[in-house]
Amino acid sequence: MSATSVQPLVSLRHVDKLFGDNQVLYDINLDIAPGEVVVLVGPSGSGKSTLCRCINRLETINAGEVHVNGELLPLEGKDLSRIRADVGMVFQSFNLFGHMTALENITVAPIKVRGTDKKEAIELGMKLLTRVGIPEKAHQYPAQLSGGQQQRVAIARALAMNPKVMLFDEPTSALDPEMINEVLDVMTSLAQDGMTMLIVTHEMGFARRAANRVIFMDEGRIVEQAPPSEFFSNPKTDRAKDFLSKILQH
Amino acid sequence: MDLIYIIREYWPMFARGAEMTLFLTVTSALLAFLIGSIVAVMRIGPIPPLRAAASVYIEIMRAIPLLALIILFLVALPKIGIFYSTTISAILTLGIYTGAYVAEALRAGFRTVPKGQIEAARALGMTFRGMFLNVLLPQSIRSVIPPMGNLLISNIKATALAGAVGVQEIYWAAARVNFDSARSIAVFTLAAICYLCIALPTGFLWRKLEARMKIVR
Ligand SMILES: Nc1ncnc2c1ncn2[C@@H]1O[C@H](COP(=O)(O)OP(=O)(O)OP(=O)(O)O)[C@@H](O)[C@H]1O
Ligand SMILES: [Mg+2]
Repeated sequence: MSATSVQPLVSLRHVDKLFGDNQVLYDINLDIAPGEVVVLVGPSGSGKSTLCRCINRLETINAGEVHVNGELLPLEGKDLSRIRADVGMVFQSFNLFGHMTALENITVAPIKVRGTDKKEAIELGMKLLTRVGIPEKAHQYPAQLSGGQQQRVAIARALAMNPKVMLFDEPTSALDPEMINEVLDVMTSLAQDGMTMLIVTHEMGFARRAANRVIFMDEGRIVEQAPPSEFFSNPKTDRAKDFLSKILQH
Repeated sequence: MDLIYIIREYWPMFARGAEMTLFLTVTSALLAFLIGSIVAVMRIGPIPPLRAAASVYIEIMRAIPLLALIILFLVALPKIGIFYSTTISAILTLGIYTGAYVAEALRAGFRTVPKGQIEAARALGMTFRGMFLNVLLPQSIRSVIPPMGNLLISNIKATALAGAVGVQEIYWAAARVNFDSARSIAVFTLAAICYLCIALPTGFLWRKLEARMKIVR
């Protein structure tokens, strides 16, 4: 536990996760403080996505506890939906609703989940589209948008719920190189505005700039965590050194 | 020619038969759609016992020949104190039978919606119901229209089996007239023409519907 008395927004305690017989998370302990930006790195298959997905219970855990904003994650049902509404999630593959325009993608959850007035939701939606830099795309369908634009709509969609914390699972991995920065810029500005974020990414430059803390995972365990300056210049474990030497070659 | 003779002499019987076939088709199709929708939602829904019940129902219905089911309903229901006319019994059987196929067709349609969108809806805090109504249903409707058309046509043809237990539809009328006139080829040709006159326009209208759904987003 951290020395400060601030209650963590997200807290995982002794979390284990198995897919069948295959254990993919081992005794994960993690606190994310309000306003903190945590970047999660590690080799493919190390359990980064699974960890993210356990936080809003897209995956059910086999042991341990997950608290969001001080509340223990409930089983399926209305309470779980309520907590999920406070946890924004951005996926590698965008996952926009294909039959809705960009604006509709953003307004549907505020209207249907929060009961926001439609006019108000549209105003908020336009404000968020402006914030992510594509107000002119409001009435386009996902298929008519570039990957970078789709991902920015997806970020706006998550923000529309006014989440307490945002989870990003490799938000730029499916993007062409020239579109990566437009998404990272939006995320950087979110970080500067004090949004609490957990980000899985291979963008080490972004991690250096935006993260308060880097967590390195390997084979389902948190192996090492440190501020980015420390982690990148002076990794402690051999596994982290090995990982960094591979990834920084590119 | 025999066919013309049969039409001239017996057309009222065939007309009444066609009317009954249409009635059976429409009522049992509506019932099948209702049952199929409920079962499909149970099948993909969040409640495990309902999911299991739905798949058991689907598997059983697909494993029993329709004729056997129709006869079973007719003889078994009165035994447990439920009495219906043969017509209503046939409608119920057809609806329950085709309902299983409707459920499967709907489920296949639901599967065309990428899983990521369903997760995105859940992550936004939508309940199963909200996700279903706002994300799954609107996007799967288009892909279930063609298989639904096939089921509707099958259902038209399946109504012929109701004739076997005495419901006075086209096949039953044909069997009666055949007994009377002993001109089998002409009689059953006319019966086939009657089914064609119902099934072909249905198929045509359905393709129109499909074409229209393609344009609408
Ligand atoms: N739905 C699933 N069913 C079974 N096994 C799974 C499932 N999802 C993930 N796994 C397994 O869990 C392990 C961790 O996967 P996870 O996707 O969390 O890794 P990751 O660190 O995100 O990897 P990557 O960098 O490739 O995205 C892998 O061995 C993977 O095969
Ligand atoms: Mg992953």
